[in-house]
Amino acid sequence: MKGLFIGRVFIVGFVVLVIHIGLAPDLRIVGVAAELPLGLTIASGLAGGVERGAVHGLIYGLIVDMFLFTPVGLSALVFAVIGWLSGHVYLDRLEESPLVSTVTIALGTAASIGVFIALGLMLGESSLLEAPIGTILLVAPMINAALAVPLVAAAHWMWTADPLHQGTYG
Amino acid sequence: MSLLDPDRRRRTTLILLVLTSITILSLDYQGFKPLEAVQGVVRGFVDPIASSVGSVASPFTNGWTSITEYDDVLDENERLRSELAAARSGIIKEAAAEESLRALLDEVDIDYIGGAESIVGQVIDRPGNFQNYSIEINRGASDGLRAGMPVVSNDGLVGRVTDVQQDFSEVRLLHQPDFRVGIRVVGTGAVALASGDGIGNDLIVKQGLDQESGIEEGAFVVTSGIEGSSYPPDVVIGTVSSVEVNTNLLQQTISIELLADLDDLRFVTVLLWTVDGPPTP
Repeated sequence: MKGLFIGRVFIVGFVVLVIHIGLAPDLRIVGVAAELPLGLTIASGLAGGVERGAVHGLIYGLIVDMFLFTPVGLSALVFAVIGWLSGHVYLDRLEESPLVSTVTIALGTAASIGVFIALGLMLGESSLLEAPIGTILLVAPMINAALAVPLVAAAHWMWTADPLHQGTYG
Repeated sequence: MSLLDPDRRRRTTLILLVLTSITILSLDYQGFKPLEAVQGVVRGFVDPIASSVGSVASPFTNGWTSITEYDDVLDENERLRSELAAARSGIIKEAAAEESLRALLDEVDIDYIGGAESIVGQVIDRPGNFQNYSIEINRGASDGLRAGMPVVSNDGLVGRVTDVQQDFSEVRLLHQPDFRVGIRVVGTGAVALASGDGIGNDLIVKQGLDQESGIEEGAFVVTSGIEGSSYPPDVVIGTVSSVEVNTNLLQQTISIELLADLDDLRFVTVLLWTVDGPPTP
């Protein structure tokens, strides 16, 4: 069961990462690409709960950091916190609702991007200000929201193989 | 209240993960080598697969791009046609000029950088929505690259290599605000230090040019290549786009429009040249 769980986490994470790196940059809407790993992390919190969401966010964010110009650890920090926060929605068992999942992923994406920019600027990454921030904050959450259902489904598939999965959050 | 208390455990988890992230951030800022090694391994595994997926899906992604950016595609097509025509006539003129220049430099015993070894690299698209003052290319230490090597496009200087991994490298572009390059204004002998001023903006020279230097708009600007410079001499940078005279300081401030389009780089050429000599094999 443990091997199955690890396999599913790897498959979901890898597929989303490959799409994010290989396809998403060429599938932009008004110049903005989907923030798929962020969407998966929020979905992971929604489907898995607080601690799973946070740990998944840290590890996945760290992997995503390997492909960015920004300092390694910045995405990990943002992803861990948003994974933790989105896990709280699980508390009320609202993740079953596609509407709640969609709204949570949209709001979570916008908040995470905002925090990412703020932290990046604090760390001296002034180039973040060169991006069309307003457009990104508007469009990226909408794209992620449109992909909310498959992302949450993938996260559910991933966590249901967790040997510690007991149907409760955390 | 014990650690078994769910709320407390969750808060503890968050604190531990935040501290872990901050530790990783500080290690990265200190240039922690094992982190770079892990980065090389992860990217060495994922990048080729992502690139293959991108290639396989390119008919679809190209179709998407042509739909969503149809006007831009038309404009770019028109621009490329005119550039191609200009380049064809330029090739002939360039060949003749290069021949004359080689002969002239041979006479005065100066190395001609046009003959320096070079290697072409492809720009790697980075994921996400936040680009940087840098680009990444698919050439690294295994191709003989070293930090500090100048990088040019067909139009002129674009930047220099700053971080070299085994199979890829980071190239810092000229428009980065803290980027410095020694320049010479052709025809005047004026030499100064230019600095970047952000994406899409001209380079700026604020100091070192007195008001008698005779610089005019449209003058060509090349690397100065003075002793100790990070760049070889006479690499084309751009043209003077504006000249302002500060009568109080008796100095000129000039802006330099880059010839290379830093926003649309697909392929670049790395000159295998460093200030401290040729690369070790």
